[in-house]
Order: sequence, then C-alpha cells, then structure tokens
Amino acid sequence: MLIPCPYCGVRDAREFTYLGDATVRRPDPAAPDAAEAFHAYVNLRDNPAGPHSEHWYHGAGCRRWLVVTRDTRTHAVLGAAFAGEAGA
Amino acid sequence: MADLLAHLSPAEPVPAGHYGRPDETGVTVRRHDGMALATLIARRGAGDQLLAAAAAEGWALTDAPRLSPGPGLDGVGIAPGRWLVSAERTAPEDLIARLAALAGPAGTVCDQSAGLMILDIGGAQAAEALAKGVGIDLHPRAFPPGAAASTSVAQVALTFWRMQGEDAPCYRFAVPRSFAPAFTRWLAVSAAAFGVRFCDSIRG
Amino acid sequence: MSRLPSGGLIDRTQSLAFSFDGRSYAGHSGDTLASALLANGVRLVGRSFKYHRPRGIVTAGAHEPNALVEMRTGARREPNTRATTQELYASLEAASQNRWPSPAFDLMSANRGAGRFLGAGFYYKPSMGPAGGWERLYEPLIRHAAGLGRASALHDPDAYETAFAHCDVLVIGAGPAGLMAARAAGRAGARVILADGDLRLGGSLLSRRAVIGDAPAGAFAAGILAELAAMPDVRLMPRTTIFGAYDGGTYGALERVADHLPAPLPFTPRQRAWTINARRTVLATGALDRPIVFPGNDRPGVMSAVALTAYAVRYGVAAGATAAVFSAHDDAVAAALEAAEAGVRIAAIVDVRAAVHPVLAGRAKAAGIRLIQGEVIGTRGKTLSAITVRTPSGIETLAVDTLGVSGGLTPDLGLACHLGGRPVYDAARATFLPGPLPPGMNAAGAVVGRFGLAESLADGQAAGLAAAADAGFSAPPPALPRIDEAGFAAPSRSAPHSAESATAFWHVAAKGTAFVDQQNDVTAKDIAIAHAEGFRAVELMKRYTTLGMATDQGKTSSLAGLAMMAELTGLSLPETGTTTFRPPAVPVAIGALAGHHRGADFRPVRPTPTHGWAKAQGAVFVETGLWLRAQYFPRPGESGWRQSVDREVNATRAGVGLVDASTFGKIDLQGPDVGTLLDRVYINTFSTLPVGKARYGVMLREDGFVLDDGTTGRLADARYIMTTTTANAAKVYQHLAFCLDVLWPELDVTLASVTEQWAQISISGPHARAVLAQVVDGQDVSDAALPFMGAIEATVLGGIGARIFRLSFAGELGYEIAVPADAGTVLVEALMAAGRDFGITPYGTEALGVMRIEKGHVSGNELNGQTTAADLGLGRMASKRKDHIGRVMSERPALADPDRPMLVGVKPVDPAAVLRAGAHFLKIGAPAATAHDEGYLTSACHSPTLGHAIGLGFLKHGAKRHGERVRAFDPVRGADIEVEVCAPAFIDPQGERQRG
Repeated sequence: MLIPCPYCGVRDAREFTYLGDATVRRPDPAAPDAAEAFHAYVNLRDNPAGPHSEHWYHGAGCRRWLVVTRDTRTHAVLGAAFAGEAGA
Repeated sequence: MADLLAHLSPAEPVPAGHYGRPDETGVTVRRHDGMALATLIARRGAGDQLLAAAAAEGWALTDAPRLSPGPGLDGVGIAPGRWLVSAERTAPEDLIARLAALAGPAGTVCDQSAGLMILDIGGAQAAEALAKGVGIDLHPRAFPPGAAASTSVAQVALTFWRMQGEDAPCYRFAVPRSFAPAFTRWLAVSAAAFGVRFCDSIRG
Repeated sequence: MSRLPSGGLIDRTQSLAFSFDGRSYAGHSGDTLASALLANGVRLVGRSFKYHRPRGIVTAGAHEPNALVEMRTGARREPNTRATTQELYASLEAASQNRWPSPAFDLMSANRGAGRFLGAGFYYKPSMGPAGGWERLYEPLIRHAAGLGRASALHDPDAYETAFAHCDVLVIGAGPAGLMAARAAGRAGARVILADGDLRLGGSLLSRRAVIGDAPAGAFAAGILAELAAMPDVRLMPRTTIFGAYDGGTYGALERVADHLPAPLPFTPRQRAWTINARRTVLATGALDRPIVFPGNDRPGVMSAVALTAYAVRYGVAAGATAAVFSAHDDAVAAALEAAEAGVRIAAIVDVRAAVHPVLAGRAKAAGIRLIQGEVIGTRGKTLSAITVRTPSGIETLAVDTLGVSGGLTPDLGLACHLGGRPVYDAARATFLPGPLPPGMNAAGAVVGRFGLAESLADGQAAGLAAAADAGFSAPPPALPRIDEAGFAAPSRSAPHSAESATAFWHVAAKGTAFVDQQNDVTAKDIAIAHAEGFRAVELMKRYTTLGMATDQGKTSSLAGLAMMAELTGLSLPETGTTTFRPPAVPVAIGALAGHHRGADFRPVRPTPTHGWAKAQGAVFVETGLWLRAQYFPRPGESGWRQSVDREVNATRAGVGLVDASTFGKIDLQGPDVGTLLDRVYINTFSTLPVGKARYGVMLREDGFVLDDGTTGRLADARYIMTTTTANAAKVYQHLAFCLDVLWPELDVTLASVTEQWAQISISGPHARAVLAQVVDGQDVSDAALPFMGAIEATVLGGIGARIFRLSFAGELGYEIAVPADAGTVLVEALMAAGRDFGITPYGTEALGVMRIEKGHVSGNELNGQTTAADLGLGRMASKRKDHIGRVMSERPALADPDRPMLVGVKPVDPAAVLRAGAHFLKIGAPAATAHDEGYLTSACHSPTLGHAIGLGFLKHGAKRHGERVRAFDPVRGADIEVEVCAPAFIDPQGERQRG
C-alpha cells in the first residue's frame, strides 16, 4: 500500500505507523462526564466499511502525524494531510 | 558473497578498501568526517519569517524535500519547516551560532555534527546498487540533482539527496551514527557486484 | 522420447552432461531439465505425494504438478524444484522425490492399498478416531508415506538480495500480448518493465509454429525484443516471475539470478526479490492447458497437449515415439498438427466433439492423422503403452506411448485476483475470466480469453497504448502485423475461437481411478466423498481434499474439481465459484524476501560511541534491543560473569565506576510552551523546574498505564533536554509528536531527537566528584555549585562542549557527562585516567542492573505496559493541580484498586537461595493455584553489597506487608522459595549517598 505523504511524496506504507480513527477528539478532562468520555475516546471505535480517516505516523520519513483517508473495503488511499491541518 | 563481510564485526562500519568484483569500481563511497551539521526548525507559525531571514542572507531556502544551497552551507528539507543544514570546513559551534543568529525567534537549532555520518556515494552503478535498498525512484526524471528524501534504507531511517554539479550522479547520505555499521555493510554487499571502493574518509 | 533431428531453440553445438538419480545424460544449452529428460527417454520422474504412484512430466511450464525434483546436493540441495522451469546447466545434479529406493521400484506404492486412510479428509478423520490412534498409528503412517522433497538442513551458502524498481507501465508476461503491449508503451516513451518467469522471452510464440507477417513466430518475438532492448527506458526482466499484486500498484517479483548455474557467480545473489512500483500494469499472463479427468490419466506419458507441442517446437524433443492427442477444443487440435509438423509422430486425435474446425480436419487428413470422435477411458503400461478409446461405434485400443490432453484453456488470472477480485465465468469460452481488475491494471490476450493469435496481438498493443496513455504517454497505434489465416503454416491459433469450438468438458464418465489433482493425489472419488460428507463449498472442498494446495496451487487442477463439484451439487459453475487467489503465485524462498537481512545482518547492530574502547578493554557485549552494549568487563583470573559483576559493583560503591549510558533516548525541546507540554505528558510538574535543574518524570499512556520514565533537565528558559529509556526512545518521540501535531497544535514547541549526537558517560561512587573535577574546564562542581539533580552546560577537556547532569541510576554520588558522540572515547579515556588513583572501574549493563535493583529503581521489567504509577510506588508524584495524559483513565476503579499488586523488595529467608524473575507470590500455606496468586517477581539478582539474593516485584497490598514472609513459587523452573517482603530500596533508602 502506498501513502501520499503531503511533504515526502508517495511512500510505501511500511514507512508509517498506524494508529486508528482520526475523528475522535480528546475530551475535556475537567468535564463532569470525563470518565465516560475518556472511556469512549480510548476504547470505543466504529468499524466503518468505506472511507475512513485515520492517523498514520511517518516515522521513517518526516516524522509527522498524518490524517489519511482510506477506503477500508479496498485499501484505496483517497488522500492524506498533516494532522492539525486536515480540517477533519 | 555471503561471506564478503564475514571477517568484519557487524558493530563497526566497513573499513576503507575495495570490495566485491576486483576488476571494476562501479561504486565509490567517500565519508566526510568533521562536517558541521545541524537541524534548523521553524517555530510554530514562523516558517515564512525564517525563510525570509535566510533569503536576506542570500540563502534561497525552500520548504520542501530539496537541497537549498546557500553561501557556505547547504540546507536539505527533511520535514515541513525543518532542515538538515551542513557546512564543510566549519566548526559545529560556528554553524550553530550562525543559524541561531539567522533564525532569531523564528527558529531553533540543534547540533547534529556528531550524530550523523555523511557518505558520498557515486560511480556509474551507484543508482543501481542503491536501488537494492532505496525504495525511492532514482530515475533522473524522478530524482534530479537537488532532490532529497528522508526514508528507510536497509532498516535505517536516513536522509539523502542527489548532489548538484556532478557529471555522474552522486548521492550524499546522512546516516545516524549508530547505524553506520548496518548501512555500510548493506552498501558493501549491494555494490559488490559492481566493485565498490570505500575511500579513506576526508575531514571537513 | 528422443531428440528430433532439427528445430528448437536449443544450441545443438553445446552438449551439457547432467545426472538424474545418479545416471548420466546429456542435453543442450536451452533445454530445461524436463526437456532434457524427455530427450533422453526418461519418462518416470518421481512418485506421487500420498500413493507413491509413478509420475511423469505433465507440462512445460511453472504450473507443473508432477515433475518436482531435488536439485543439487549438500548445502544447496533444494526440494520441489519444477523440472519444467529448471534450466539445464553443465553437471546439473537432480534426483527424484518421494521414492524408495527408486522411482521405478518403490516399496511405498503399497500405499495404494492404504488409500482408504489417505482419501479426502485424511488430515482430519484420524484425529477423530480412538484416543492415541493419531500419535501411534495415523501420524507415523502419513508422515512416512506422504510428502515431497527433503530440505537441506545445512546453512544456505548463497546470498539473496532485494531490489526496488519503478515504471510507468509494467507488463506481466512476454507472450504475444505482452510483447505487443511493451512495444507500444515503450514507443510512446513510457518507462516499461517487461517481466516473465521464462529464461527466454516470447511465451507461446516460442513453442508454436505460427507465421506473423513474413516471419516465424520466434523471429517475430526476437525482433520486438531487439527493439525493446534498444530503448533506454525499457527494462527486460527474464527469469522474473511476478508473484504478487499489492495495493497501490506494487508488485512482488522473484528473479532467479543464478538458478541456471551450478553456483552463483562471484558477488551475485542466487535470487533477487523485487518490489516493483508501477503506475499502470498490463496483465498478459496467457492461458494454461486444462487437463481432462479420466481413468489412468496420471500414467507417465500422459501430458498436456500444448506441452507435447512445446517440447517439439521449442526444444526439438519428441516426448514419445507415437503419440495421440485427446482434445475438447480446436486449439489442442491445432497444437497436435503443429507437433506433427515439427516431427512428432501423431497417430490419432481423439476429440470429444462431434466435429472439429473443418480447416483443421482437412489438415489432419492431409497429414495422415486419424481424427476420432470419442473419449479416452483408460490407459495401460508402467509408462504409457496404450490407451482405450470409447467411440460411438465401440471400444478401441490404440498403441501409443504418449498422450497429449487438453480439455480447454484456463486463463492464468491469479494476479488479477490478489486484491480481492473474483473471476467471472464465461460460458462461451467455458472458463473463468478475470473480473473487475485492480486499479491501474488492464489485461490483454489469452488471460482475458482472447486465445487467437491475431486477437491477442491486437489486444496487447491496445492495452499497451492505453496503459501508456493513462501514465501520460500518448502515441498513435502502429499497424498490426498481418497473419495468414488460411495457410497451413499459420495455423489455427489465428482461427477465431467461436463459442462452438470450446465445449466445456471436464471429465470422462468411466470406471477407474481418475486424478483431478496429481500433485496432491486427489481423485474424482475424493470430490464425491467431499460432496457426500458435506464439504461442498469450494473453500471447504479445497481444505478437505487438499485439492489445489502446495507448489502449483491447483493452477491446472482446480477448475476441473470445481466443475465436478458443481455437477454433484447441481449448481452452475458461476454459483459454485472459485477459491481465493493469494500471493505468492509461485513458491518464493523466505531467504529471497529477507535478502541481505539474515545472520549478522538480520537487523541493525547499533554500537555505542565508546564501543571500540570497550572492545579494547575486553568487554563482553550484550544486545539490548538494536544496541550492542558492554555487559561486563572480565579480568584475568575471574571465574565467570558473576565474579566480574560483583567486582564492578563493589568497586563502584566503594570508589568510583563508569558506564556508557549513551543509549538512553535524548530529545531536545525548545520553545515558550515546552513547560506546558511537559506538564501534560508527565504526571508531575516540569513548568516550575528551575533552569539548571533536572527532574525524574513518569509519563502515562492515555489508558492510564505507564508509558516511560526518565530525567528531563532545563538548560535554558525555553530549552529542555528529555531522556527516555533506551527501549522507548522512538516511541516517546512519536508520542510527543502526536501531542504537538494532533492534540495541541497551538503549542509552540520544537522537537529534535539528539540521541545520536551525544555520548553520555555516567560516573558513580564516592569519588565521582573528584574524577569529574579533573575533566571539567574549571567549572565548579562542588555540591553547592552543582547540587543533586543539577543540570548544567560546561566544557570539558579543554573546550569540548558538554552537559553535566548530577544524577545516578546506581544510587551513588553520580554524574552523567554528555559530549558530542565523536568525543565519547576521548572523554572515557580521560575519566579513566582521572580516576586511576581511585581505582575507577568500567562496568556494564549487568552491574548497572544489580545496582538499580539494590537501589529499588524501576526499569523495563517493571515498566512492562501493565503497571500504573501507583503500582510502582510513584503515585504520589502525580500533581493534583493539573491534567496530564492518562490521568482520567488512571482513576478507573480497576486501576485505582488498592488490591492491585504494588512494588516491593524481597529477599530470601535462606541467604543462599537464588531468586529468579517470573516467580509468583503466594501466602505461606496457600495452595499453588491462580486464585491465590498475589503478584510476581519482576527483577532479581545477587547483591554483592548485601551478600545475598534480592528482588523486586509486585505484591498485593505490598506497601503494608514489609516484614511479612511469602513464597516465591516458580513451578516452571522447579523453585519454591520463602522470601521476606521489604521496601524496594535495599541500600540507602534515604538517598544520602547521591546527595553527598
């Protein structure tokens, strides 16, 4: 599988480390329901069939975290952007 | 072939000498000791300011995986807003001071002079030998002079770039110091079919 | 059964001697082992997998099920080599497999009687039998009988390598369609790779007798190859099999660099595994001849009809003295006529259809070949001597020693399906064709059912042009070569394949053992058994019968098996479907995939900056992750490692010792928000750390467990230097990058790994300060100027920039001195000289481990991913005034449970007892059962300071149980030792030494 790093260019997936769903947001630790919210943040994940935005770390390249959109049914990579700039 | 390096310690870089096919030298490897090296990193939101400061010193630094030669130094993009800067015949502390002054509040500087081994790999068969571990396309259309890449080669994360102004392609590799044995062993074996000379290292 | 007087792509001037089963033969350059054996009349080449039936050569290609041989001898002996792809070389040595004592006289062929045990489900049924039956009876029986070749148990003397290649257009297969595709793409200016497993590129053009334009097919192929070879951006890759298609246009390929030589040439590998990245791909793998299942179809002498022709045309070999062909489609009839033209005596063509193509029928008549409508229902002879044919007018016996068989053509479409694509059944061609292709791939020629030569050439050219255009290289289509469709010399392959010409015909209904899969000895009866016993879905049938397994992966056999199951179930073939195609499409040696990375080069070996010095001191080294570190420094007269380690510990605690601590991860953090970041990643506070000081910190994962620990110092207002454990250096950097890139992109912090830049030498012991004072350039290192946990920048040895941290993992007065890595050896030598009067002693990881256990410092054994800060006794470090990663989750009830085992020290009641990490704690008198488990021992050593064993571990309510005795129970190693629980710090619990 190839991932188009926005800086380095197209690279083999073996240069990257996978983390998972990039849509989850770290909850407010001061909120009254923080325990439940963190449980969901750390443990609960959807398993969508289709486009999925997910975090990949380009450890063998620019060492930046990316948000990669991948179709889980076909492994087609639909795009990649730097985390924090992805707007996702 | 498997025994090419059997007499050498796997914990030490391959020493100077000729390896592999004895009647040819298709690949030449030259190590630079004592070159000043540093990482220059733009502070959050200060990338343009840093580029402008470099430009003011006559250094056309670009924020891309490319070689940006400047007066007395070379910058190579390794990540967004991040460069590996090298300077020949320069003391590390002088490079650090120069970069710190240049960057001011727009960037930070870290000495890497002792952390990286610099190898120039050239010769008629250099690209062919390198393709045994370099997954980047080295075809001249894809990787022209000045192109740079940070990638993994033979299990070693490193940065390399194609040097400018050479007739035959020559690639400069910056290899983390402790990976020098692994990288040079892979290189010697991969280039053995073409004959490879590891030259005496040069200082500066 | 002999070499024809002329013809073939062999060099008759070059005779190559070789041996098979110890007998000497001769062949020619250009032969495969199979063609050379046939030329020498060797028809029996091995015994079958389960039943030890005599078997011969069936095909002329990589899909060969039978002719698997052991190649070479000694360390290079390699089993299961296909004789049909093994190129002949001088002095080649090969042996048949799975026979004893010889393929002609095999004692194990009695297994034909044991067929009852070895039929469908033989892997599964015996294990359901009476207890002990498997081990005592069935397994030995199966092991003795079944199997293929023997692997060499010796170290492989050859080298292997990997390589990358990149192209605009990858053409897989160098037959008519592939050659045309490559030429079209190359002429358009695209970077092209043309890969084919064969030593000679040309595919079926080499083994058939068509005329293209004015040239024979072989010359036509040679012309295209010469043109391709002259194109600078075209790479021809013969002997290179594409074995896998992967996501994103990545392909795996195996190049057999030296399999055709007695041994690899100097400095070249035996094989090379390629990773090819292609923007576009043209799949032109062609089609394979399909067997017909009939009684006696595995007798040596029965082979593929196309192979019979290939041996004649390409190798100049008549596979037999008199042959017949058993066909169900016109291409097989045409192939038979071409074989006859090449000099093979063809007595008859037995075709199952009422009529063959009239042009072909006419040619057969002109050539004096009988055309019989009928079916072969049996064979005779040790090797084939006769066939029995059932015709509408009765049974007839034909005396032939060779029978070419073809029931149809099966596209070789596996690579089209590696990414999950499913083949679709094409009723008109009576075969499966590739379904939707992977992105970037198109397919051309016989693999998509365009079996005719003219249509294949045209299709290949169109596919090559389209692929090049997709990659941005456009060119007008060149004119296609003219193919004479009428004349005898341009035969039948050019005759368009009509629906009528391909009649689906899978098996002959007749009595007798008929093989579906010769490689796995799967018979027609086995398919029926699988059906009767409910294993009807194709994937179940495959595993129950083993149909389509092993080296050939059922390339020729699968389809007939599926068709026969479909007949039994009453389902159509499309409803029945195919099994899944997965890489590798051909066997690939693991060594080729590993390439350079084996033995000493299995993974990088990272030396520390003082490696050379330590080696000169006689250090014994140990691998810690990728690092190679000094483990201990033996001295003459020492009886073993324990004595050396004890001496190193005692010398350090009494005087001063030195260790290379460079392997710790070091991360430079700069910017106004570093303190904020550190407060969020460490459980304790760093924003208040004064400049010039360091602090021990613990960081958690977001799930509340400990991620790593280490010391971080503040060198300037906006500059910190973090140390991580050796093992977690990359992981912590990744974690910090996640915090800055994902969680808090607003923080103004820059990160840089400086692990490689700094050599860090730790000196510990009462005399450490006196030693340090001698290497610094006038820096005041008194307790007042550099107190415990001080962190300063200074210069040493006359101007070397250094960082000095006053801390000690050993629990003594200690300093870590960091200098640029290239000055590490200079520093260590200077420290040794400065400490000579104090008896300064270098020590390694063993003594370091002993001293940290004596001090009660946790390490990787305790930071094992399952422990919390509270478990480690560090819970009170956590700041209550701030959030940090892992805080919320660390408060979950199970993580805050007071019953969780927590860190304690233990010492054996019997001072002579030896403790081993891994033992579990039990109350005295409690049964040794999981329900009574109270924790476990994580670290243990002999303490030379105390004179007995000590250990660290986790014990329920451990903090309250100091003084209590428990058992350290280790059933695996037979130990059960009574230990006393104590505080983790065995020496200097108040930390007076390090503050001294």
